Amino acid sequence: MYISLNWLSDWIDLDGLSPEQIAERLTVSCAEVEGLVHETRPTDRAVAARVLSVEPGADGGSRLSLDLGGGARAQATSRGRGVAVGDVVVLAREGFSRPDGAARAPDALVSFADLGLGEDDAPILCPRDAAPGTPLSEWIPARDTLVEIDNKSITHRPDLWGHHGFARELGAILRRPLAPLDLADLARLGDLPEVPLANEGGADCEVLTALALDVEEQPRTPLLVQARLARLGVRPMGLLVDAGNYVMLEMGQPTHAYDRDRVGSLAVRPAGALATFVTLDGRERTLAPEDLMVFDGAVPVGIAGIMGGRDSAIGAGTRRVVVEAAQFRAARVRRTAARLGLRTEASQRFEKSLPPAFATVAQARILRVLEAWGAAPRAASRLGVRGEPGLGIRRIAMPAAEIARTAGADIPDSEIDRILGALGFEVAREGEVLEVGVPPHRSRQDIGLPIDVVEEVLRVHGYANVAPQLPRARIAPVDPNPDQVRQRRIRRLLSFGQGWAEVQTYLWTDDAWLREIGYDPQGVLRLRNPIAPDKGRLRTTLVPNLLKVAGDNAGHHADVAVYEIGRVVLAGAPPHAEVERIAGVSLRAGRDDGLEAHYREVKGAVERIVAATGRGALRTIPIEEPDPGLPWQLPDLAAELADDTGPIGTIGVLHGPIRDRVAPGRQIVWFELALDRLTRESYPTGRFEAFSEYPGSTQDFSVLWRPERGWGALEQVLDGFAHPLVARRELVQTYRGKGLEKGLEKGLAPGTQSYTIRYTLADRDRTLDGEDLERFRGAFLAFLETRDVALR
Amino acid sequence: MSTTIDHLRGQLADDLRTAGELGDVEALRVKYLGQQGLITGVVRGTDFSTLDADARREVGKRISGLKTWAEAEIGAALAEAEARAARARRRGMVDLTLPGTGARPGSLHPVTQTQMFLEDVFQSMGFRVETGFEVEEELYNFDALNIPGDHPARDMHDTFWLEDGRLLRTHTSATQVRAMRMHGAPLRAVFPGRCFRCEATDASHETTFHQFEGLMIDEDVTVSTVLAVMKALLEKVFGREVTVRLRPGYFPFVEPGFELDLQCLICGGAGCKVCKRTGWVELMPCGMVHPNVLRAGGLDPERYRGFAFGLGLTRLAMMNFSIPDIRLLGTGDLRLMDQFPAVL
Repeated sequence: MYISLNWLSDWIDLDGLSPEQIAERLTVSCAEVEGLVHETRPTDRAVAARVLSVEPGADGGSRLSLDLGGGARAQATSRGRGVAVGDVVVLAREGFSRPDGAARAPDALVSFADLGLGEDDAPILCPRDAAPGTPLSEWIPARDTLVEIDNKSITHRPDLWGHHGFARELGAILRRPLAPLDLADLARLGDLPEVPLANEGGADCEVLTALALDVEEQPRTPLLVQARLARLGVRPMGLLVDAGNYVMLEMGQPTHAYDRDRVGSLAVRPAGALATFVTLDGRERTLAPEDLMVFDGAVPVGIAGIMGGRDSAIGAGTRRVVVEAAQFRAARVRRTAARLGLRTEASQRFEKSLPPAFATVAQARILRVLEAWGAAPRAASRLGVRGEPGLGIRRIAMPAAEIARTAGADIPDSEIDRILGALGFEVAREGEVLEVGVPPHRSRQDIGLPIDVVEEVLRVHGYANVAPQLPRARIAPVDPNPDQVRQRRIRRLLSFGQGWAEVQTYLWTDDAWLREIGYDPQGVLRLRNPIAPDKGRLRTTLVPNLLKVAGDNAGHHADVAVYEIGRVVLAGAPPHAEVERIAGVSLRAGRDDGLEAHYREVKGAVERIVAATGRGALRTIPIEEPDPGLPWQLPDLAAELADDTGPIGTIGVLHGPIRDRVAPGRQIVWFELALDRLTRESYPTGRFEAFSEYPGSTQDFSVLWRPERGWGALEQVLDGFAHPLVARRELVQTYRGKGLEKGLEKGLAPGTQSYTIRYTLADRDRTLDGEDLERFRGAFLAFLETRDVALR
Repeated sequence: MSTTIDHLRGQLADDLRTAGELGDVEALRVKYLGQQGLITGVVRGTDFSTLDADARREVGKRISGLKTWAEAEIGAALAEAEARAARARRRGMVDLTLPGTGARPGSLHPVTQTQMFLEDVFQSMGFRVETGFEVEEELYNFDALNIPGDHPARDMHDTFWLEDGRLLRTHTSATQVRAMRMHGAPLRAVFPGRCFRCEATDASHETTFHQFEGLMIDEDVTVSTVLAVMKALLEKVFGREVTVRLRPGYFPFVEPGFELDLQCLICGGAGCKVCKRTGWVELMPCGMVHPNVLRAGGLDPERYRGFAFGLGLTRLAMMNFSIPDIRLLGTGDLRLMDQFPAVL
């Protein structure tokens, strides 16, 4: 929003301050100034000129003879025929140029468009009693500065949606006196009848006021007023409309004037069955039943707080009006305006929750400006009020010390009283209690609690006047966050140790992608208003989104290893529970015979994660019958992962069609772990076991085993062998020759592969000798024979 | 006699100069000092009987001097040649300038890196870390934060609503009241996490973004605490002395509400392009926790005061890493991620 410094000067003396200083003070104590616009208009290069004669000219225009005062004469042309003898027009002098640099005929009369004020290119008409030769700057100042206020910083301050509100703020901030808004005395109209008036808006209309006014004629709106309106983007529309708009820009309260020859009564109520309405701009609007409307009997005449109707609009000839000023509920106006796509100067002010008192004040101010502008208005009714006019002072009692306690700094009582007084508050002190009277121009939503009063004092006093002070030290340990500890360990392992890249994907899935991989999750939580119709399902697993990321990267990376740590929202019985997961996808160029090695590398990463964050060793349990609803879990290529506490996740390899959907021809390994199932204590603990001082020995055995039975099953067999010398058992390598089917190579039997197992043998009390090793070997081979396991 | 000795001395010096290899030097040792060597030959070739006692002593002394000198010179040359040979054997054994092998560095998401850094700073000052929920209840996201039912943020167009009546949190402030209820007061906590807004996306707007909220509640928290604590924290974040200021700002869950400005680090407050010539850069909203919010958190606003602040974590990450488009952060594109190796 723009605030004109010239306009502020109607009520406050800003002499001696640069616009930059004013902007700075507003920013630190009131509202954020986004910028300053320094404007000059060539009004000091144009003079009033009386029309002496009018001759028809070329192209339907006129040739004028003008009196410039002091005996000077001039000729000019006018494009239209709207100028009459005796009118006082404006003629450009030496040095006049349009602010936008556009060319104009040198002898043309000056229009508002020539001044850069709106698009009206009709000749400006000065008051008829203006002396020829008077510079136009007599009415329209040649210089002004507009202060651009960040609208976001005044959403809670409806009183700052007009110039007078800012004048009041500057009065308090700069310690300068403020002139009040000049208001007509409405009480004197008490004997007149009321305009028929009904407020059936309930909570949507806190107060509705109406005042009937008559004028003999509509004189021209003063040039200064027209200029101010035009500069702020409001097109001058004739005196009666201009008065309402001007008062809105002065104090923030929108009003609407209806032609009383067409509108005899006003009633506010929801649109109900009314389906459509044609607004002032001639457009037909589709209404919802809850939209608040203004009616004249059964006839709709306006959308409350947004825009009036075409059929009740006032025109140049209107002499009798009824002015409506009300307080409509912010949310009602906002929702209707948003749905209609019709945000107006009025609606955006109602959206800020205007104080109800403004309705009455605006009526009094409109009557006063009409008087001041020479319209000689005559009230034809008293002020009709339906609802709570809100003109009373609201009282807040608070401990006087509250202000210092919030600030952490002392502020003298005299300063507190001065600030509150300048902002229009009443202040009384009784012992330790501060009694504050909140003026009607401050909305209830803004000032309702003692802390709201504190803010008023502190901001005007200036936060820069509060000295920084660190709080007294309190030593209290802060619990580490176990989720954070776990996640950091995993990130260290994967990103730093294993070369994986962390990515983030959306909380929702993309149905198009899910269709592609044949995944259609049921029972998931959905968004009511997704960003796109096919992005409404919240993810219950991280894997599908991650497969998409991996596939997308396959275009420019041969190998991809990505992981995500993030939330999923589990389907199942409501409420859908939010849990943290980690998933990884590793994608590599390579042939199938390297797939197992690739898988083992990924598995190694998972093992390290579990070692760092889980409990006990990682176990892999092949999933015999994978859920066909989870297409990345393929039969024979997916397994459940468990640690000593039970299941913690899943791992697997993609093959066939789904592999080709993600990244054709690549090896793809995935895993997913439930982070809340990884429950290792964060404090590092362990139990030392004494080691033997005597050297040990190792014995390797290569046994034949069918890979589809799995190392896990072979391990279970080996677990059945116990021997006192065994310190450790490990798998050294596997070997399957050129392929299982071909077999029979280097001692392999058909369908088997070789698993090389290494036993580390040791005795705590002595060095092992050859006989020990022979006896161990014999015992182990005998055990294998009983289990029907052959050596290679 | 003396001519022979001087000649031999000169001859040996010349020979040593040209002997590079270890074998050459060894040959010289044999040539001069061996049993058939030139120096031994001098002794042998001298008829001492023809000399008087003084002359014998003199000749003996000179020959012995020559021998000692020759042994020292040849010894030094041998040591030098040996060192050269050993050097030659090591040379080329290992190319120390080859790059390292092993897993290439992976990467951490730029937002994660920024978040971890901030967490460390705040934890060092006694703030706990709480991550809250992404799927949140209306109560915590709005009502408990003094955001009335009529507030624009609650309209459909800003908030992702779920079919079960809950919503995706629109700000990490949603964790404030949860933390108060969970931990009571005094409380120092930060809430990093993902937030969601249902709005059109462009280079600086995304449906999904991260915030980093902070909360400090105690009996003696005042506006002057806000100034001091934020200054101290920001000095750690930026690694240098900073000047901050507070000015009015409006958010329903704080009163008074502030915008915290940082004196421009580029121009030092003199005014430049970055700070739009004002000398100040708007950094983050903050404010004193509204009494209604304290009450919703089960705390007595007469006893406890607090302040809260919110950092745009995603925005900070974009600034740190000069990422021009917020939408890049959600793509998982490794061409972006590869540029930010993990540093832990």
